Amino acid sequence: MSTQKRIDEKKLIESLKRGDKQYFNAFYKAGRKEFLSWAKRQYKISKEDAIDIYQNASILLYEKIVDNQVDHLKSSLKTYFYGIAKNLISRYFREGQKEIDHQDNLQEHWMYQNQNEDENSQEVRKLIQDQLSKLGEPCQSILKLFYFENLSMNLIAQRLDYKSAGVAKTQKSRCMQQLKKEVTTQMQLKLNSNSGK
Amino acid sequence: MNTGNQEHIEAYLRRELSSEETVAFEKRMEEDAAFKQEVELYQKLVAGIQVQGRNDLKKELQSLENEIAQNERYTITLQPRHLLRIAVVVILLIIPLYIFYSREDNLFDQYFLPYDNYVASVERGASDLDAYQEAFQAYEVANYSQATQLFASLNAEQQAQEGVIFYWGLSHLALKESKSAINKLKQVLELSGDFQVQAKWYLALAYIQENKKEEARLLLEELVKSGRFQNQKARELLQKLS
Repeated sequence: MSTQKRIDEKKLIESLKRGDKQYFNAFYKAGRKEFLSWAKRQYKISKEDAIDIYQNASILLYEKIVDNQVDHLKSSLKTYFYGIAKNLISRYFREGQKEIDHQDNLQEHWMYQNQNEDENSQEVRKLIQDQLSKLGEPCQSILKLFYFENLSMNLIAQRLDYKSAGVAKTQKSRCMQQLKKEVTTQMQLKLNSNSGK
Repeated sequence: MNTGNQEHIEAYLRRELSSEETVAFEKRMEEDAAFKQEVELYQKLVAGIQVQGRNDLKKELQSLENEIAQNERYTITLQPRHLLRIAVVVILLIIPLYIFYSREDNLFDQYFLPYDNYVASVERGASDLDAYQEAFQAYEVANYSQATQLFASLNAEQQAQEGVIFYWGLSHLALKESKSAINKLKQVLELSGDFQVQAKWYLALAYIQENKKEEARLLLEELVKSGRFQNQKARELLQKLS
């Protein structure tokens, strides 16, 4: 029984690292009911909020998996997941916030600056989000596949039908440059309009 | 920013530089404010893309959630609150049925009058009666349950008499034991004797009691056509049934 479960979790981890969400979705569906009744019984959380927390914990689990953080777990993935969820729940009660904090950053193999949250950095973050959503294809996909899904250039090349990992890598660099250019231009415009007031 | 520079920044951010390279990189950031800004912007872009990925995944899970909710709508899970809803629906269905049946009951009560005893005249207060007379006396004084017991205690020959069967059936009918009443009254009809027409009337009432409207209607129509016993009442009852 528990062996069966191990295999499923192993499959989940392996498939997600290849960019296949099938087992991840199955994991989500399979654990959902139990989680919701647990959250209700244990913490008296409304169904709506519990669903939100369940989703956010799933997202964090996803990130941990693709960031290679669960490869040598001593516990089951499910136990690990409940650990993540409990953290979200205690913050929910402490701060009334269900959402993932943008400072729950993000994938550990990345170095992030110490985010001193001032108005400026909030503005920059919003500006980046805007420019990202304006970015066309293949840039949206390729950036997401590389920086969020953490796929190798080989897999990205397969997925997006590039001849080789090298071609995919060059494309990714171009996309990053384009994004940077758009964001810098917008920041400059904003700066000018602010100083013009 | 040239591509080489970009790759260098990315390698630093991914912690892929050697320790010497990292020291050199960080020294350059301290000395070169423009370079530092560039590194910081790069970090923000990466974080931005990751937040975007997170938001996309959230949307995917929400549509998965909608799918599940859709499926749940088609599966009936019996939870206490559902049971309560079902109970309410059942009660709401039962109320009109109850009203319907109680109306049938009313029809029976409105029209049922026991038929007078014309078989064994019993002197009131007479003693040393045999079971036959006792049975009819019980019927006369409306002690119907005793009457049915006494009719049942008679011998086979007595029990085969049309009069006995008829009053026996009426006793059951008065007790609203309509199934037994129907059984007896049908026997009376088969005998085609003196009580035939009366038996039809009471059998119709027994059928009403049982909510067998169609059977009751047929008998009442026969009575109306024949123009005999309870003709007027049969006509009325027939109208109320339809």
